[in-house]
Amino acid sequence: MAQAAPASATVFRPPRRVRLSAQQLLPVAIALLVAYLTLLPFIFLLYGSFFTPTVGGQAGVFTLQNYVRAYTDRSALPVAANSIVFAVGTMALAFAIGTMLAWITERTNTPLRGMFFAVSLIPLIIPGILFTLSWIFLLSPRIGMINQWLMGLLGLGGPPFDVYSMGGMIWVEGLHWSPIVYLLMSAAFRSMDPALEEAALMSGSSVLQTFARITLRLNVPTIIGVCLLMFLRGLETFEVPAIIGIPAGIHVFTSKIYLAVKAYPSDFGLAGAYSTNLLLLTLGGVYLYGRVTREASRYATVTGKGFRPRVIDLGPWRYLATALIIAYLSVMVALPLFVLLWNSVLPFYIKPSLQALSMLTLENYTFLFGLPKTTRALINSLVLSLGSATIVMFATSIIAWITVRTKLRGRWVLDNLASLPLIFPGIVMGVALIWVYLTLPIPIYGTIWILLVAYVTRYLPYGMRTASSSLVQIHRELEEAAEISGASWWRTFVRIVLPLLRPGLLAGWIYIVIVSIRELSSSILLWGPGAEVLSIYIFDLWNTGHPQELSALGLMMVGFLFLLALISRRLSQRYGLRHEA
Amino acid sequence: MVGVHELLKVFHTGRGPVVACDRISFEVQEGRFFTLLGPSGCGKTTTLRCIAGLERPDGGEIELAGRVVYSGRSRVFVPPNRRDIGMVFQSYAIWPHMTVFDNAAFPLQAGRLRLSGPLLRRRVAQALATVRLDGLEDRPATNLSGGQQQRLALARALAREPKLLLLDEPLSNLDAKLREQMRLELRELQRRLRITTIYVTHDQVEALSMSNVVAVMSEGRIAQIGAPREIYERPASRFVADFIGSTNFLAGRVTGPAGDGLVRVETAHGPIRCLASADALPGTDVLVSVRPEDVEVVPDSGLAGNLDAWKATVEQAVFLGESLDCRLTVDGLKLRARVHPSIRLRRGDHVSVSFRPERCVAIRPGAETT
Amino acid sequence: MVVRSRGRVLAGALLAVMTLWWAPAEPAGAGAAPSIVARAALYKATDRQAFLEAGAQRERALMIYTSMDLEESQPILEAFMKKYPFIRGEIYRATGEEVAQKLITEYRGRKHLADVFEGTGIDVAKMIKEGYGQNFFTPRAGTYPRQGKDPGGFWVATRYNMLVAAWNTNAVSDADSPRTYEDLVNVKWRGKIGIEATDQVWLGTLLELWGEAKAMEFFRALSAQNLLIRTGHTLLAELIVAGEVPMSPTIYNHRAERLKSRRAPIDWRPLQPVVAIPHVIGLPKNAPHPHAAMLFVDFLLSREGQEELVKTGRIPAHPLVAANPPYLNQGFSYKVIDPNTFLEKFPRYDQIWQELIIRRR
Repeated sequence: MAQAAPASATVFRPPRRVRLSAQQLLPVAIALLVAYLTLLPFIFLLYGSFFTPTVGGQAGVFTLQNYVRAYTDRSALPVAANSIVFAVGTMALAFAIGTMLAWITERTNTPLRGMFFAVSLIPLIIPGILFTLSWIFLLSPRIGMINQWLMGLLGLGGPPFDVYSMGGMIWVEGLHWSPIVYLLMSAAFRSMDPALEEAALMSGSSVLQTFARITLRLNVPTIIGVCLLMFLRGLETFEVPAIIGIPAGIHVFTSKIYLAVKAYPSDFGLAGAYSTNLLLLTLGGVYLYGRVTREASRYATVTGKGFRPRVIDLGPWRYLATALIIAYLSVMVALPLFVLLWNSVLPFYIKPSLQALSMLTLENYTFLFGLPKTTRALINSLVLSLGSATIVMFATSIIAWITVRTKLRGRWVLDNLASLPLIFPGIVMGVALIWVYLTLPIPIYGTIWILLVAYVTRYLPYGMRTASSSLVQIHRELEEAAEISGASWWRTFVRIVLPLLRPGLLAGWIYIVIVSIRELSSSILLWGPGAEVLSIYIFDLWNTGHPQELSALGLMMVGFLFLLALISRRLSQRYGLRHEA
Repeated sequence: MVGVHELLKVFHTGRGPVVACDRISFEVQEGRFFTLLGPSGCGKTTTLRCIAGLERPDGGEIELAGRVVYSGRSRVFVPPNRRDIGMVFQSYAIWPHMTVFDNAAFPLQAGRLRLSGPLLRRRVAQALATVRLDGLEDRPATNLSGGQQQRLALARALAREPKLLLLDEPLSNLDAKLREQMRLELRELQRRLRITTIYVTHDQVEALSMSNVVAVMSEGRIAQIGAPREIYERPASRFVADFIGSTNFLAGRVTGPAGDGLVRVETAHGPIRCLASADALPGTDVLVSVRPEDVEVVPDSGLAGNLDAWKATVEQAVFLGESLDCRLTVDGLKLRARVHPSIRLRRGDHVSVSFRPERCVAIRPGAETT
Repeated sequence: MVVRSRGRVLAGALLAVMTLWWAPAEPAGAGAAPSIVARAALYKATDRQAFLEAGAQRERALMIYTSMDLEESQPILEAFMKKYPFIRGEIYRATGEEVAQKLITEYRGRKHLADVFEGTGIDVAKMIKEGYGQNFFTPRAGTYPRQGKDPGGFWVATRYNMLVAAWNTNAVSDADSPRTYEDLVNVKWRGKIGIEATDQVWLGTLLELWGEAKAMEFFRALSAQNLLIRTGHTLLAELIVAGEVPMSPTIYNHRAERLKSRRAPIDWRPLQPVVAIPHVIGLPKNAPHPHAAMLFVDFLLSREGQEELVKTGRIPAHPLVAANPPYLNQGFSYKVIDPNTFLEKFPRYDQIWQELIIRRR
């Protein structure tokens, strides 16, 4: 008991200092966590690409061999060229489709346009891997349903389309991203003063001239931003290059990295060199994108809100526009889901016919439910997506608070660190994380936790974006009022800041839940036994030749995601709108 | 009660440092209504936020109720949540995700008080009753009108019965009628509760009508501290005279005493008698400040009753209902006068003007701060 | 979408890399494990079964790395767990190449997760070549023929995959279907032959059987046929059923047989000599549950385990267990490849394969 007095004396500090230190320690702790998550993979990747592998405790030796091989390989030039052609093609297609639809629904009197806005989010729910596979089922030269129909209908000798081509890859990828372009462009069109267009119409210019010379021109910063975004997506994407590109012999960076890791002997050095190349490309894109969006905010012609948009009368052309909308929806949603449904109830590929109807079976579904892996994949996917979304949104709301609200020195470092994963394509993140956790004595390799780390890291920038943009909109005095009322920093954060951020946080949370359930490109390299997730399971079913079972699983997954989206929509209506009243 | 000594606050902006509080000192007595008045950017809000603890000063000392809450020398900084202050913000900062009750209850639940149950309800009811919001407890706070939100913010600030109340331009978001009403209410409430109050405003009418003491601020410094009447009638500097109300400035030189505590000032247009300040010694250059309402205008009828009267011409006369606003010229010197509406004047009329000596103040041109 | 990245990010990261002193992690507790694994693997005393069961009861778990399809490996694992209910088995399934690559990557990083590796002889041989294999003793191996087990005791064959020709019966009539290898280079097959992208064994084995000159002539002619390259034997079989690929000489006959039994429009015929690819079971040297692993090895090689395999339609390696139907491995001549020698010659075969089959399309 003798020691009790001095011990308590050291513990019993003035309470003020204790509280302050909690507030001061948090930024440091968060900064360390973010640096650990984002900087470490980056460092390991660079290290791994410049050093020979560590074997049996022997440290690697510095080498440039990986880069020499990556550049002198006979396929080096085609790979770079393919990557860029593919990304540019994707960008152009997605932009053309998305912008046209945005204009039709926001700026014209096309019938049914209101309905379209409501359903325009559905395509976002279909995971890239399922979208890609369903287009193989539709456009593959021999089993492709569309090809078979057209050959029968027009009496063609051969299939009119071949999905296993650069054109096919661009078609699938571009379509897949068009809803994002649609969302971004329609937001831009909506916030534009219609008087600017009306003035052009009054000056005698035609509808199309007005669109090209006024509407598009005024939105140039937005357009450049959207195009860069699509270009980056085209560079980073994995599903289409892996599933269509590899069999077609059209290699891009991401599929090349995948092949280098998966080959024997596994070539991590080469994968690292390819990854660094890809990183340089995406870094350039992200940098430009940042420049452009900063410019855009200065572009003052397109600002404000509360315009009552007057729509342009398309005359009889408006029915054509409706037809376009319907065609788009069937291409985006109806056809892919139909072909999945069709495959899922048949024992093997059969083209739709009366005879096929006699073979309908639920065998594929019972097979799936018979495997313990199915439930496990479902549970893993759920745990991972809910977990990563929650962690990301909580962490980023604190990070955003630090970067937006405090005047701490070096807060820009934190901001940049949290945005660093933007330049990491998923597959590169996978390569880097394998290195990190095979080297560090942290036993999460091959478990569900490494996937959690990957998801949290990859989606940090998205969380940052929503958290900081919603925080900026919250008046600072609301927090100060709580402080003056005697609340500690933590209490203010929990009782005032978090509830006020809720609509923004909820939106970000839902987005991350949906994208992490679909995640394939990092998971494919990181998963281990017991840590299967739905997207991996689907990929594996495809590789082992179970297109029917895959379709069944895919349909269930889409249904599940759809349900999730519905629930979250209800949630956000309930909790999101209250404070906007 | 409140002591601010040599308060220094510098903001580092992209265009270099800006001194918001340039070694400001003042004291506020217990139970007083103290106002910081000044144009935007003069540092009045920053001073208030330093007292609240929302800004960390760069030097000086702040004392609240005998406790040093900030000292640059001994590196003391008490965070705002431990200062026992109530504050009403310019935006009211009513939390939109809470009800009226929750808003007012928050200060009682947070911090060291941590009230709950019947005691909490009683104290909240009391606070809401003070601002006449009783009965609206369960309303979402966003459903209140502007004036109600303002009162709720006040109730929240008063709920803990703090020793000090800070008000940051609380009336600026209200329309003119409501503002006038709230001004009186606020004043009445402060008198009743006898709570020491520091009020920040750029509106001279609010400052003059509500305060015991007004401190006029300019460019991070205090230009003059005093009772409202003193500030208005005896401005210590050209800035104060100009900022509070409107005024005419006449440049001249003190020639000598004129009895009754007055001095004689010789201007380019004639002599004026005015109140002497301590340093208005004979031979010094001064500016004489005359309020428009203290300019006497008599239509020129040939009478030469007043020796000091100057000849002037009416440039413009605007009928405002309760007064007649005139612009006059005296040999190229422009003067403003506010006269009784019964006097009829027209452009081009010749008039004689005179100034009430006890209402004229001689200011040293260089005297911008005390 | 707002992006905050600035040039400073990269600069800062580069600086961090340059100033970072790199020290590889020390081997973490890798010293003791192998002796336990070796003891369990090579235990020969009469109480072997009891010894292994006692060990497995402590371990309670088993991690199987395999290239076998889940619908086939899962029932076998379940039969095994029924026999040893105290063991909880897990399967990691991927293509043989991927499994080998994953295991080797893990061992390089000193992560030891796998207890057994069941895959093509070549993929298991990769593990052994890297020094990550453990030789073992099992009394079950005695009945197996010499070509079905490693002379060093590192692996024993569990099943065979037979590469045969299969075709879509709607697209190809029985009369038109190929009967010999030479039929494949007939011009009528141009653009209609599917080839699995990783069947270097097929080329290599025929090269050895026929001799360089004849074989190269054949593959050159074949490569002029506008081959349809697809990855995955199961996928290729499905594509034949779907009609996307009319015919392929690199189809596993058990797969074709299964689809045929499900009324799919597919049929097959051995082109002699058939190339038989052994699938083998091996033991990683740092298996965390070696006793359970040895019990599984015993089980899979036993009549009981082999009959479970037959139930899933696979071709057993056990000489006394018949395939179902028996003609899956009877009535034609086949050549079983030797994984050990094949792995060494692989780079050369791969080069020819890539040049003739994959690249020239």
